[in-house]
Amino acid sequence: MKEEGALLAAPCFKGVKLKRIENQDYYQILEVPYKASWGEIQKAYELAKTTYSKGAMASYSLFDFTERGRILDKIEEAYHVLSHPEKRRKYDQALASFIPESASVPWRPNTPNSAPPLSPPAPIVHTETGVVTSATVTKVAVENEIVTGQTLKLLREKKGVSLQEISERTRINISYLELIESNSYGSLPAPVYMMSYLKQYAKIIALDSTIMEEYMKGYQRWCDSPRQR
Amino acid sequence: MAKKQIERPPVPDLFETLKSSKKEVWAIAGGKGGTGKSFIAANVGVALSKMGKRVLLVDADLGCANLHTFLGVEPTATLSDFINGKIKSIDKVLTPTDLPNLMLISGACDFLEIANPKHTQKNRLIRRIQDLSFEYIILDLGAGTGFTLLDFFLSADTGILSVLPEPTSIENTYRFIKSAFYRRFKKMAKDPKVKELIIAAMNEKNELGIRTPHDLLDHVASIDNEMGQKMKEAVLTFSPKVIVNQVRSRDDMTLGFSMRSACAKYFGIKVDYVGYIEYDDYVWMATKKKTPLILERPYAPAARCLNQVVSNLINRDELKLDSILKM
Repeated sequence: MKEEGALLAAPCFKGVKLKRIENQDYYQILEVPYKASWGEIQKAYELAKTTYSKGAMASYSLFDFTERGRILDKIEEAYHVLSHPEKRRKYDQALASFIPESASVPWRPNTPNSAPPLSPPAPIVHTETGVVTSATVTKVAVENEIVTGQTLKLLREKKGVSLQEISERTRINISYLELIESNSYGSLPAPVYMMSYLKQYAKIIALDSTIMEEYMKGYQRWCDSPRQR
Repeated sequence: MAKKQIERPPVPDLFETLKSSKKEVWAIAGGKGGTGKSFIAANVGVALSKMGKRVLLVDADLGCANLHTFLGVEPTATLSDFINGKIKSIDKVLTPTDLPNLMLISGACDFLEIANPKHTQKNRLIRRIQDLSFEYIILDLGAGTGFTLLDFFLSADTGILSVLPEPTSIENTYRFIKSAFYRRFKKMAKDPKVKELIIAAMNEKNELGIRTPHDLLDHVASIDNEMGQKMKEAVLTFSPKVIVNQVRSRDDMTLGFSMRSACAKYFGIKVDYVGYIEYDDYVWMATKKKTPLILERPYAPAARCLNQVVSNLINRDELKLDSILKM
């Protein structure tokens, strides 16, 4: 590891030089910097899948079938960890012990304002300033069955994904996404469309589907209640 | 790649003296013919001179030169006249263009022998070019992976590869990078055993099981550890730039990023993707008129792309993946 340490100068790409994929860390495999946002990881993953897919122009003449398969496996493995906040946090901790610069750059979800997710069972408390941390919001919300647009917004921001990004990737009109997050039940499309929208929203920010079901329940209740027109 | 390799004495860095002065040499190559090397060279030269830089374009495509046609000038003297010794002074070989601070040394098609000048001839040429007062010297290298071409490419400050979004062009680009790589290794190696190893490795189906440059470096290190380290360092400084020409879709635009990734994973090198050039009908129109696109149609899509490429090259920057995905 000593010898490789010298090659690992700051911008992540430099570390990739002359390192076999077996010796690369997950960031190097996906070719993203250590401080990469969630969105950057998504894009890098999609690009990697295109680059090493069957018959892809950029790679077919350099790698044979087995080599390409091995690279894709590595990419899936890296993405599986880096796209999951908790798994990524643990991986970063382990990585920090031998790659100091990976630790010196805090990645977005762990900003001082948000509690590290799933650290010792987070007590459901409000902080002194009255700001409820997003991890606790999830807990409170799910336990009390009150997942609102606000909850979704907090969870999304925690992952560092913008509404624009979700809209671009799902092709859902951004105004609908804004309506979902602002609980504007009256202007939302019919429940049948909402189910699909919420499903895609949840997929993009890797949310648990129960959270979406809870949101849907709230909306359904509103739909079923006698409306004032 | 499988062609016969002729042993030659190691060639010193051709541009060594040039680098000390404040000059930059950019070499444009690409492996395959028809990928737009001369088109790019001419327009990059025009773009730089429009920024107020003193630029010299050298048509180093000695077998099949036509850079002068892209610029719409008729050279009275050519590089071959100088190499042959017909013209003694390099000043007399310079052809002025429509732009005051852009000069051309034309290559023009003539003798076949000239396509492979002797080492002393190459050196004399480089020394004389060095005496001229230009800030940027742009070499249009032509197709193929000949030794002269590879040496020019490796000696330049910036090596630029022009690629078309087609399998044939990409294959040849990788072949070019591989040849350049092994050429540099071979020039470094002194131990005949190491040399033999490099020559063996150039054959893709070698018996030693050397598939990638990683394998080769491991093999070299097992014979001569110090040389292995030196070669590793040489790899770290080798960073060619890629331009994807004639793009028609977003997939074509992202190709440069995919190639960057494949090169990192296969060769272990960092290729910079400096930009793409959109497919644009104004390009062939300008070529037919024998005028550089940037002068003929400065606001055509391809001209805008070229300006972006030049700006990235000057600033040692590269294209961002975000800029394409957010379109």
